[in-house]
Amino acid sequence: MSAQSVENEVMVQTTDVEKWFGSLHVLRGISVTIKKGEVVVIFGPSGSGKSTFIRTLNRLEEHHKGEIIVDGTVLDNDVRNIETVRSEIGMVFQQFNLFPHKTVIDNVALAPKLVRKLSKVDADELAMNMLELVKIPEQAHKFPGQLSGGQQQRVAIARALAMQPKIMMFDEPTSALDPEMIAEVLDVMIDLAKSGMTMIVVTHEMGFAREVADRLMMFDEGLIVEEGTPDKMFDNPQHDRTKEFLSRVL
Amino acid sequence: MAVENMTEPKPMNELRPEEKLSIAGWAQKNLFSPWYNSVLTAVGVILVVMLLKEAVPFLIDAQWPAVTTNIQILLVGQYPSEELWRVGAGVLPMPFIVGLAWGVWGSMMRTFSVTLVVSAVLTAISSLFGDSMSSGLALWFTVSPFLVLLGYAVGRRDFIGPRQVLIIWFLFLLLTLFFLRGFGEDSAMPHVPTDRWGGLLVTILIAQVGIAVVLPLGIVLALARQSNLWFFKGAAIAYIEVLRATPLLALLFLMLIVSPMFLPDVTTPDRLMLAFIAIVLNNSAYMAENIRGGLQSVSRGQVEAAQALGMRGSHVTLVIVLPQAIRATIPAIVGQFIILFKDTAVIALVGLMDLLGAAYAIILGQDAWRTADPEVFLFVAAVYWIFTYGMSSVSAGVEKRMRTGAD
Ligand SMILES: Nc1ncnc2c1ncn2[C@@H]1O[C@H](COP(=O)(O)OP(=O)(O)OP(=O)(O)O)[C@@H](O)[C@H]1O
Ligand SMILES: [Mg+2]
Repeated sequence: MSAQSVENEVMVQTTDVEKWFGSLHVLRGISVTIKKGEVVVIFGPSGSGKSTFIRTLNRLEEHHKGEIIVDGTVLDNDVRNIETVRSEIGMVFQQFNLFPHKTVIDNVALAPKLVRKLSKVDADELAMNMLELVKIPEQAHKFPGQLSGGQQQRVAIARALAMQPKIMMFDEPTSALDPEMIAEVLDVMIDLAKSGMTMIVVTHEMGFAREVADRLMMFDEGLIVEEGTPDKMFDNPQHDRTKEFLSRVL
Repeated sequence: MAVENMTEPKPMNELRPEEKLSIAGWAQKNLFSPWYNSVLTAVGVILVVMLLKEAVPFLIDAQWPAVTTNIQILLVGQYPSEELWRVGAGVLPMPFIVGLAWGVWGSMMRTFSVTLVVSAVLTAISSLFGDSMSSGLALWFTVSPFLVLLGYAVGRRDFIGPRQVLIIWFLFLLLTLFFLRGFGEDSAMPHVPTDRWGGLLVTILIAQVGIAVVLPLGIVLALARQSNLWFFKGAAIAYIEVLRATPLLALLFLMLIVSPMFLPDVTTPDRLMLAFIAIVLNNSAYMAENIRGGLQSVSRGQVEAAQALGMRGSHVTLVIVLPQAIRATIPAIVGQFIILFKDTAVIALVGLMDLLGAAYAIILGQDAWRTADPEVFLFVAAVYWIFTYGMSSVSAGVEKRMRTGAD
């Protein structure tokens, strides 16, 4: 494989994805192609379907129409396909969702042990490496409840990274944090983006978007109303909805 | 274990000066103000005086020999005298395991262990006055406090944790049962049928085996009720709802009187086993509902985080959801254990010889003690109290630890 084709390797491909919650049509035909190493930032008003969309990519939500292919695996009802996709996509939640009954290092080492079948020694070593990556190895033996919000979110990132995923998804990772802790989490995410990780980030941190995003997508009412590079989207938005929304968040 | 070392120094405000009141000041604050507390205090004092006026002469005149001469029946029922050494040896691991649990779980097991040790020591001392207690029994009560302490010392060591204690407890419990039951007629330990077992021995055996069976059964039922497989779900709902709607006593009569009709003639049903099954059926239904409450209290986000990591459904349930559910439910679980312990007394009503049944047997069976029912029942009540008080203190300790949020 030439360097060129690796660059263009498609990691996520969705075609006309639709979803309903009861009679509520939340995704109304989403088609995106995300290539390896790309950093995509998704933003848009509350209730526009951002979370729902990224959650369909690892089947936390089922889609009803259209097709989703993640790294060559078609997401359908086959449980093995779902587990394959999930072990290749790391996900970070707004509410951290760390396992409160496990120490920090166990939180990080658990999935490598259970899913990747690593030995305890190997999993713990891997976990310590990940904790060093997010700059909190010294907290390894505490419980999540003893950490600050920013530290917890960094553990959550380490936990997702320990599965050595090909793609990382973030759903408003800094929205539940006190302002003084936002930077420490964004710094880790910026490092990750610069290291070449494929990332899909739902966020309204536009400074982050401008610094590392390759592409921005504006969601509204279950559709992508506009997408483009940060320069194009921030400096020369085409759509009235985009202009209006950005004028409020910038 | 590390959590123990993290207790912070007491904050200064716990030593506020106003809390160091004189006795007079304390009485003024707690007994006489505001004015209606003075009235309550007066009424309380009158009641206590009236009670003592009746109780003191009773306690002095009481026929305690009704208890002391029958202590063997109250403790082990009609277990054959020449085989009693098997009971003594068979239950020796129990005080050791109480000590182990104390060492491992620390403060929350302290009151339970200390209560049992004090009771055993008092019993041993009382055997010095009067000669109604056999020397073997006196020896047992003398040795067992030391076994608790030995267990405590071992339990403090690092190589032993909660899981090991549970496994040791379970294995020794099986061993005890085999020991008491015995083997063939000609062996060194001839078979002793369960209708000869009795007294406190039966009460604590049913309680312990009941606890060991009811908790796992309750977990399985709760998980089945939550499952997506209609067959398991339906079976669990039917089991839980039918058994919760049946009074334990009715279930007991059903098991002992109706079920033998369906058993083949060759087998004489083990009545103690049937009663045990009734208690387990009833308590497991309630236990399942306690655990289900815990399962529902675990947030959706926990499941999603585990799924997003690629964990299998069984791992998500067993490694992520269930441990959190059980933690959240521990006070209710211990509460159910206490109920189960007290429930064992209903088997006396179908003529079995547990602690309460042994008391009935003494009062109704021996003319000499026909009027000694207050003494015997007071003793029985005191024994139940010792165990339930111990268990309640464990529950209180667990809740306290959960409130302070350590781990
Ligand atoms: N489990 C659910 N059941 C029913 N409706 C839902 C569910 N989850 C989301 N919705 C609805 O679907 C719509 C899209 O929700 P979604 O969470 O995807 O929006 P969002 O763009 O992430 O918004 P926010 O910025 O508030 O997070 C909303 O109207 C929401 O109320
Ligand atoms: Mg959202």
